Amino acid sequence: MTFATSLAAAAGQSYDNLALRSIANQVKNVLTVFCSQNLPLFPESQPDSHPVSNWLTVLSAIANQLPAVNITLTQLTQAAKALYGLCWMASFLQSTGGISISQGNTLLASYNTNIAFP
Amino acid sequence: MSFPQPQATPYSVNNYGFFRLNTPLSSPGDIYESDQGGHAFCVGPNSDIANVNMAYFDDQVPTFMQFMTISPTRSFTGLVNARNDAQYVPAGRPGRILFWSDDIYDPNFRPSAAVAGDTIQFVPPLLDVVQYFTPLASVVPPRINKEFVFQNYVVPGGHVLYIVVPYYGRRYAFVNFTNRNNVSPNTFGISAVNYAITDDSSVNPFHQETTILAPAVVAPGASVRKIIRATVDGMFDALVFSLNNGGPAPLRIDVADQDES
Repeated sequence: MTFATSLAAAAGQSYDNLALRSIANQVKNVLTVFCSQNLPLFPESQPDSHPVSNWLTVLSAIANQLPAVNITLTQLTQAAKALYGLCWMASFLQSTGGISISQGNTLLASYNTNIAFP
Repeated sequence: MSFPQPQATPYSVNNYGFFRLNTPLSSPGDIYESDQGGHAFCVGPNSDIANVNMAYFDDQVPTFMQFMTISPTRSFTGLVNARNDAQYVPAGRPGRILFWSDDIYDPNFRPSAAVAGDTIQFVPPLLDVVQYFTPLASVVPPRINKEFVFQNYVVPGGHVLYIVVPYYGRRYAFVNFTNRNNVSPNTFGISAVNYAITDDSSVNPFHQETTILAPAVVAPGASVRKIIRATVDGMFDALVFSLNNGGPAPLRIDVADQDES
């Protein structure tokens, strides 16, 4: 895969990227880092951003329960679907003003740094 | 409906007995929250989405986040507390009940037969979930049989219009198409799609497409009828209808969870 140029593209590449990360046994680590980096960007005091922070809450719980190595196909699918939802939600909220352009761009940059598999 | 979403709290504190989240998906990633606990949860009557995920607070899970899926074939009765006083781990966000579609939706999907200049219209899937605030012995969750009706279309000259109708979990559809244009024929076809998580800008997106009725010319005044059955044709996320004339051409689509035969 390549770096995603938009959050919608990032959503579409979720499964592919995590599948490649799983071969390298990196899924738990990259998702944990990704969530911890981005949760502070979407504070509880900002209700309009709750859909994004709710996804990050779900994704971080999923990542927490993943084994560090040899994740199963079921676990990979669960994580990919959550990442897909998160990226689409952020894309929608960024375009409608629920989150700022900056918040969306920072999330995308973090995705490309941690999850995209160039 | 768009975000911010309606809140369950006013319905709970005013003794309405239930909170109904009934909204077209504004994106494939829509996720909704309820700060109130509930005694029963089910897929609502108007839902196009068949499988709805829930996350709720559970003291015995290391992250305190438990997952459950409800569907037209399985609702849930039993007290689920929101636990706003506690926090999910490791996110550190307050307990609340979360809902989202387990079924995949992709508004960037384009049929593989589509070419530049063709257009596509989606009927956005409705997510309908009911949360009850009083104990119930059981909840009967079947969805209504839904009817989609179209008649006139905006079709670019020489091109095809695709209409995508949600079909998650449905087992039966009746389709009736009549070309009421007295002069021009209309090429009508039906296919079905199961969405995949895929990069739609790639050369070969991963969606799975099935031809139900190959595109064929429908002469002025002629009709086409087609019955789609899960036992014969399979189960799909959406039905895709194609036509190449603006009409008038009434298209009626009835979908049901049960085979009507």
